[in-house]
Amino acid sequence: MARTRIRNRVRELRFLHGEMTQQALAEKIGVTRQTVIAIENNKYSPSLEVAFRIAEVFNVPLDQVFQFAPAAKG
Amino acid sequence: MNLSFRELSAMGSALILAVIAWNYFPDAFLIADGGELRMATKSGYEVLDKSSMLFWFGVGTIVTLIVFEIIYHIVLATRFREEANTSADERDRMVMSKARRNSYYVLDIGALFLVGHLYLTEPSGLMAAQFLLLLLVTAELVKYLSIVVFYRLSI
Repeated sequence: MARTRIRNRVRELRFLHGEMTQQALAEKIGVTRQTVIAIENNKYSPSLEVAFRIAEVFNVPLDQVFQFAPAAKG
Repeated sequence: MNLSFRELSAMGSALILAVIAWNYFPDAFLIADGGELRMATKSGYEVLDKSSMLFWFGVGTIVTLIVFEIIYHIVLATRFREEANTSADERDRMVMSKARRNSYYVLDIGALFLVGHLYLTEPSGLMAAQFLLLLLVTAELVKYLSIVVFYRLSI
C-alpha cells in the first residue's frame, strides 16, 4: 500500500489530549473519520490547511505534528 | 474489511451497472446488427421497427438501472446514516477527481478507437450508437472501480 514520506504524531497527540476520538478530531478539523484514519496510518498527506488545523487543535507547532522523512540514500 | 459508505456506494453502483450492461448489450447489438426483425401475425408477419424497439429497450434498461441504484443507496444510507449525511472532505474530492481522470482517459482513448472502427467498418447508425453507449458505460465502470481502488490503497 502507498505510504507517504510524511510521518505524523496525530494518534499520539490524540491520546495525550484526553484520549480524543478519531471522530471528535475529524469534526474539529473538518474531515471524515476515514480521512483521520488514513492520516494516522501515513496513507494520506493532508492539505496544508488541514495540517495547520490539526496543529491548532493540539496547540502545538506544525513540526511537532508532522515530520518529513528524508529519502533513503543509495 | 472495514468499507466506508463511499466505497460501498461505488462498489454497488459498479456492480449494478455491470449486471445491467451485461444484460443489455448482447441483445442491443443483436437487434442493431441483425437483419430484418419480423413478428408473426395472423395474416403472415410484420416487420418490426428496430429503432423503436431499441429505443424502448434502452428506456426500460435506464429505468431499471435508476430504480436499482435508488433502492441500493436508500438501503446503504439507512445503514450508514451519519456517513451518508456527511459532505465530501478533501480526500473524498481528491479520490473523485482522480477517478474521473481515469474515466476521462478511457473515454478519450476509446473515442479514438471508436472513430477508427466506425470509419473502417461503416456500421449503421444504430450500431454506432450502441458502440458509443458501450464506451460511456465502460468509462463509468472505470470511474467506480478507480474510486474503490484509491480508497483501498489510499492516495
